[in-house]
Amino acid sequence: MKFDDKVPIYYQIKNYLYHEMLTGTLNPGDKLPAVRQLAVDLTVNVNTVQRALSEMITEGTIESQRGKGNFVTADTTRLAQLKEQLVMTQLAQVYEQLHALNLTDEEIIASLKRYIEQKGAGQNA
Amino acid sequence: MTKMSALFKTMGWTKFRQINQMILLELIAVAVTGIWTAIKGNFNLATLFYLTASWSMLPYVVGFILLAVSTEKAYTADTFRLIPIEETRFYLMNLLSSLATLVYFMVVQAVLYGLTFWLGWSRISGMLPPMATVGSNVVEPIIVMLLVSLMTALLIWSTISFVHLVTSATSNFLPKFRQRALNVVVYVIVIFITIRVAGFIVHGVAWFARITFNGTDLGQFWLALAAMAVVILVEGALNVFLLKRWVETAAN
Amino acid sequence: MPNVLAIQGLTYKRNQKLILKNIDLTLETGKIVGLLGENGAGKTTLMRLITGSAQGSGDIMVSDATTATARKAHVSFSEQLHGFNKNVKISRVVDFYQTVYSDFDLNRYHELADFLQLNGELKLLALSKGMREKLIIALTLARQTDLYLLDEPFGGIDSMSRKKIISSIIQWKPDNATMLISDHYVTEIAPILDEIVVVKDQTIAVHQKTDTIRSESGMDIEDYYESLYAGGVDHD
Repeated sequence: MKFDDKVPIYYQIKNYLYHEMLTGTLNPGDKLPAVRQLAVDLTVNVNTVQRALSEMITEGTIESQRGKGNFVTADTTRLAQLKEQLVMTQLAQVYEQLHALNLTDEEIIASLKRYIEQKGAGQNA
Repeated sequence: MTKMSALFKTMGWTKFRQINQMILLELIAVAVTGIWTAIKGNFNLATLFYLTASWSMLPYVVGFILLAVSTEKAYTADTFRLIPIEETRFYLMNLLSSLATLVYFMVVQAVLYGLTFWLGWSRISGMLPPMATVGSNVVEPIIVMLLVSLMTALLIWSTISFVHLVTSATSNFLPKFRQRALNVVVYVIVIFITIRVAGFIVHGVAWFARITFNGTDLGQFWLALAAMAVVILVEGALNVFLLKRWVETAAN
Repeated sequence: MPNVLAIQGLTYKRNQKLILKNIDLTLETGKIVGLLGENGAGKTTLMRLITGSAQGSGDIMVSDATTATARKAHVSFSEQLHGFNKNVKISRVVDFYQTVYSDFDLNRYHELADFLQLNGELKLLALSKGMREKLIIALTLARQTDLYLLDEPFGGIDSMSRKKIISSIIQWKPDNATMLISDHYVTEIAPILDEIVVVKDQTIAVHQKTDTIRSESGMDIEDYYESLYAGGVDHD
């Protein structure tokens, strides 16, 4: 995959793995590829992958089992939290930007609804 | 650390290959001129011996020079100088592998001479001077002659190395222009010394031929050999010092 | 973390011209470090000083080795094979490496050669620039040692070869070994670097973690590197 070289790579690796976990490429309880394999697949440094993984272990989104490797947590509540957290981060950005355009909260909701309706119509057509 | 035997083996291999090419060229030259002689109808049993005798000097000289070039290249090539081995050992193995290859070349030449001489014996024997004129003690002169040729090879090679390493080391201290000027001075001095030494050798060989056939005392020759050994050792010590402290490999 | 390389007060002159001045540099175990700088800044010279191929003044320690001879046993340098006859086959060069380096691992070499698609029967003169660079990488990485020095491994080669070489670096660098890679174009290797070291004005201008640069400056590594030359960014 391509990285944005302006953003710390370990952070982008985390986001990549979150994405895999939430879209179902990696299911709860699944084993992650070995660190070196991940590094090769993503064309990044082993140490950087290690840093991303250890942060994720600390957060509880993945679990490390001695001698076996790393696994996506089977704790679905934790995964739900992660999803919520990611959704909120995305929304926060949109909200900040729309707010900066002097939209009120009601107007933001209304525009969002309009946007979804239009997009839905476009897809159905 | 790398073993001396491993270094000897790898350094020797390249040189061995070069010398084998020389031997091959020599054989081709003998064969081609032999066939030419046969076509002209002058071929006899002794022809191959004469051809070997007349061709052998050229590949020997070229082979000697090729070995000198290989020896010098090793001092400044990363391929060799990155090998983890102490400089004295490196120097020794470089020089000894060249010497061993040269001995191999000499043996091959001797075998060629022997073989063709044996082939042409019936014709050649009649032209030889009577054996009685050769001095009674033949073994010692032959040993001395072999030693002299090997020591001469070592002396020439270590002198070339000394010049090479000194001129390479001066870049550590001197600006480019002065380095070049100094190198010219070094070349001139060494060429002068070489001419003197060559003169000594030529003179020596003539003298040697005299004693061989008159059976005079070889004592002075042993003395000369000892003097050569001292020069080789002194140059060797200086060369190793230069390698350790100043000489760099050629940049990529 | 223990250091694999420690350089103190290293100065290098050639023909009375100062090339490197009073350099201090330490590299930790297990890192991949980019050595950046303009052509002629002294990147190659710094590597040559570490291996003992060039002679300067100052202290250089690799692992616990201080003399040049001892250091050579701990450093694998991407030498350019100039010492070989051009008619020699790759397999012969491999034999040479196996004979003279006790840390050369033939299995590792074959894995690397398979991955990089090197044919041992080819002669050196028949190799393209990319192939030659791949061979040098395979030979350099097949030694099991503490410090790898790769001097401009991407110079003038096609992007497919470049990708293969980068993959082999990730795959075959031992965990506890450190690798120093010199390059003057950093974008392609930026994602695999832990740190960068910039040689500028005869000394080390910057030694910094790449992710620190990204999070603190918000710039990509190439822009940051170029900004050093524009003089616009305060770097300390």
